[in-house]
Amino acid sequence: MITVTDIRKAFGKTAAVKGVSFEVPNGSITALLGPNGAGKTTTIRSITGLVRPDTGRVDVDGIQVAAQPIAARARLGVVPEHIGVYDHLTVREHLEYSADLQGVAAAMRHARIERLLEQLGLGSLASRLAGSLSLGERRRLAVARALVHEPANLVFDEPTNGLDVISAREVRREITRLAASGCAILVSTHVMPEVVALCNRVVVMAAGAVIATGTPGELLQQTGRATLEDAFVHMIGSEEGLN
Amino acid sequence: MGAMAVARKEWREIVRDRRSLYSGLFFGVWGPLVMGIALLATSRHQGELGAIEIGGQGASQAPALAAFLAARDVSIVEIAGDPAAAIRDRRTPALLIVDADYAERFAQSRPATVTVLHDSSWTESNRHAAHLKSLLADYSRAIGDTRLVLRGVAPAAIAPVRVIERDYATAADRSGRALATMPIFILLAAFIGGMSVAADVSAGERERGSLESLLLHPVSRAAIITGKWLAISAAAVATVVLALVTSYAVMQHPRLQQLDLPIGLGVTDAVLMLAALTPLALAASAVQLLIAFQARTYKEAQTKLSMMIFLPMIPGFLFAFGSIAPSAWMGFAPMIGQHMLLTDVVRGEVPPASRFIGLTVLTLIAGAIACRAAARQLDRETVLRRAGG
Repeated sequence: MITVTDIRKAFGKTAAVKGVSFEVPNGSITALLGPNGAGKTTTIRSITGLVRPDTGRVDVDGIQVAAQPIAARARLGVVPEHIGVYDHLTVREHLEYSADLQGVAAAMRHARIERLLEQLGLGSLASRLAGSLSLGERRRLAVARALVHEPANLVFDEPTNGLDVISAREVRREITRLAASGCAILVSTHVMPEVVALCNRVVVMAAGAVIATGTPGELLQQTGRATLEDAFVHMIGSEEGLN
Repeated sequence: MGAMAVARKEWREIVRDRRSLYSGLFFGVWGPLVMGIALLATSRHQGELGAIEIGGQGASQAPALAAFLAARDVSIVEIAGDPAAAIRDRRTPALLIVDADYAERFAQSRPATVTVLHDSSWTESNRHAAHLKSLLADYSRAIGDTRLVLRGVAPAAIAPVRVIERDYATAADRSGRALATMPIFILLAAFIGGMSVAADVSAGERERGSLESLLLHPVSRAAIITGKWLAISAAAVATVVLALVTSYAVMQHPRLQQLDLPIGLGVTDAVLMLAALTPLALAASAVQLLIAFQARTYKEAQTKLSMMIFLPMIPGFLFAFGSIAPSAWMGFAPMIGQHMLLTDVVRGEVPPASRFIGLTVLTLIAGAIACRAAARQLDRETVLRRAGG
């Protein structure tokens, strides 16, 4: 479970996040929605410990990220927007490297990596250098890398960005499977159909603050709109004085 | 554990994408080879000339002069056509033109003209011309003295001061001076060896966007830096070893062996040098990592690091050309101290153990400080900013 409590973060004079609070319960998929500059990336980086909030706290399974970043990261799997693979390592070597850094026991490593390669359709690519992979294949590799230590909490930043329909579908299927297995999953995305198809909770951010939370149905009810996209535009527009 | 995983991964990438490794290793071979070529050229150009041939026009009008020169191993070969073209085309390094009225003026005890042609941009031409002019001056003085004696005048009366110049430097001495630059080349290897690797594993990783993924793992920043530092250090030490092996091989060249050089490089010397340079390579790698992590792109890191190359060259050149004299405190200053140690070793002197140990400890402390600063830098949020971000 991920708990974000009243975090604030400013870069110089610019307040990126202004008192954001929400929870990502186990077994749920929570969408983090917001326009560019809403503070999503800063919020996600606060959760992963890459950014230290000025005030407030983030807990991952009860572990305060700012106080114990290494212990908190060990319970997190993160698929960042910029995948950042190593061109001269093979797919299998990427997973072995992550397993090494995550401290996965040698006895479990081989079986776990083989299972992930199979689950994410990377088996036939295991010996290929990452530099020769397509964008979709790279993203699946990034997902596999985030899962190598079997974390209970997962953060996906734009998980289907740039993917073709088939690859996007595979990634969404994997996210659903992980939630069903009890993981707490936070997905930052711009793709509304993805939110509708995947998420059972939505956190909407604008101008560094949370402006709405609830299930997709609750958001539709609150705004009186027929689609989540219309509801989102309505909320963001109100927040930014557009309507 | 995490540090070794990072180091293994870096090495695997470096070995597969050899570009960053090669640029360092190339210097390890190239630097000492250039020094060897310079040494051989110095020994050839600055040795005794021996018997030489020069071009001539109209030399038959000055048989006594030709005989004087021949007695001093300078033979004149008649060259037809444009004398300037003969020099420019390098058919002869120097050319002596005896004027048509030389014999007549000589017989009348009037100044007879000879012209020496040479090319000042051509080292061999300069040396031949200088030798010829020196012999012509000797001949002129000898003839003048004889004429004065015949007229009852003591030659000493018109020469209140006679300058005698003697150069006692042997070819070995001159080559030895050139060899004094050897420590600079070997010292540079410790810096250049890991430079491209440092840029690649830090700014390169940042530019490719893989740094954020790395930082998301539950590994301390110190472990990440240690792993990267180990990879850079391995490249730097490998380059130093290569530079020492190449320098040793260069010094085995038969011509350099014949020179009986006052300084040299044996196997024991090479081992001592490696012991002196390994801490410097480790510290330089740490400083390079610190500098490279301040850059957002590989190219920017390369530019920043390339400025660092001049640092080890400064004390080396100042010492080599006698601009500053080494003092005791310099022996403990990282980089300057290593240069002094290397110079001692090539001269066959054994540096005191206290200086060796003190310098090693201080150099390693400097490296540790740089590593710590790099780890702190990795903890800053700004490290996630990428080019254009």
